[in-house]
Amino acid sequence: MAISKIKGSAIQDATIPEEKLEDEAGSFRMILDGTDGSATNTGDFVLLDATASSTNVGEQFLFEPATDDGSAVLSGGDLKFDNVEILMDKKSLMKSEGGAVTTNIGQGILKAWVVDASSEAATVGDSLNKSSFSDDNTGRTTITLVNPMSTAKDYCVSYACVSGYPYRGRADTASTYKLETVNDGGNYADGVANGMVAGDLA
Amino acid sequence: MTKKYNVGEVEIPEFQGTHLWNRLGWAKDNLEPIQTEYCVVWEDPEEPDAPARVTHPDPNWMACARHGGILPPVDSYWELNKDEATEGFVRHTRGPELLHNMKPIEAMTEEQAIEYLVMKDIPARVWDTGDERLNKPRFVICTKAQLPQERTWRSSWRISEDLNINGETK
Repeated sequence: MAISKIKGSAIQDATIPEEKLEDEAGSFRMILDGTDGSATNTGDFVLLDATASSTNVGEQFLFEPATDDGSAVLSGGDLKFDNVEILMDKKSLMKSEGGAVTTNIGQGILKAWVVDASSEAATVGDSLNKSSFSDDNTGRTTITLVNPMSTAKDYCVSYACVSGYPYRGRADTASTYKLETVNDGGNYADGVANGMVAGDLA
Repeated sequence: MTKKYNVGEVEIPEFQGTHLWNRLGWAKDNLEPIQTEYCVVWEDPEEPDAPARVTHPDPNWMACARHGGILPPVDSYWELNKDEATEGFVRHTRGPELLHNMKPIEAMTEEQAIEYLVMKDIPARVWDTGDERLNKPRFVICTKAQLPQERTWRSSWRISEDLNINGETK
């Protein structure tokens, strides 16, 4: 099997017998040991497994320092993705701002939003997960979702106005929520609405 | 900024089995929004004193409808509505079956998309009356330019009883 050998800053072709790349079970396995024999790993460019062969057994992908729990850990640097699709399930977690607890990504992101919804102009600036908006009456708007929420009332609607004053944003059904605007006299009045929805999707 | 495509310029990925919400994200990234001049004016028979409502299609949604391969069949929404109307309803459990795993519908014309929207976003009691004897329609598809330009009397807007339908004045 021909692979590339990295030596210094140059890349050279090298051939390694295939049997040298197989573990006892016969599956392909390649270990890059980046240690340089010194007490530290200073100067290493690639370091996937710098520990003794008896530790971290079973890791598929390992950056030091790491554990043998099957996770992949990158320590001490940024990991940048460019045009890469990252698929995460609903259990995916990320550290909270304080770092003490984790945030469930699927739970934590907005499920729908709308900006600059104006009954007066009969237009919406931009939106996500919205099929239509209905001008119900002065200062009263209903937004209908493409992907409904999972519950009829138990989801969060947050609302702000560019003009007028937000009276309330509220869940109406699993697929509709209402944004209501008032003037400084407390009466319904047309405004330009920005709304956000958080909660579980159907 | 990602290049966005008009109808016919891009092949829609095979989305059956992909969460509908993820499809909408893809569409927003890739499809040019389609602004329509059409809207739907309707009156709810359950609220006879309420003024006429005006429903405007969303441009991103219209792009999904026109390209096809993204939205579920409208009956999926009817089934969800039935579930929600069932006594003791707590939360939707048929989303995967009805929305995400259902074969998406084909591309629609603008007219078909508006009809789909009527059946999706407006209660069936408005458009599915089954009664031809009504003395005036409960909904009308018109252009934004045909709406009253003055909103001072917004709470009094009604569908005209003298509406001209199919060239005939009722």
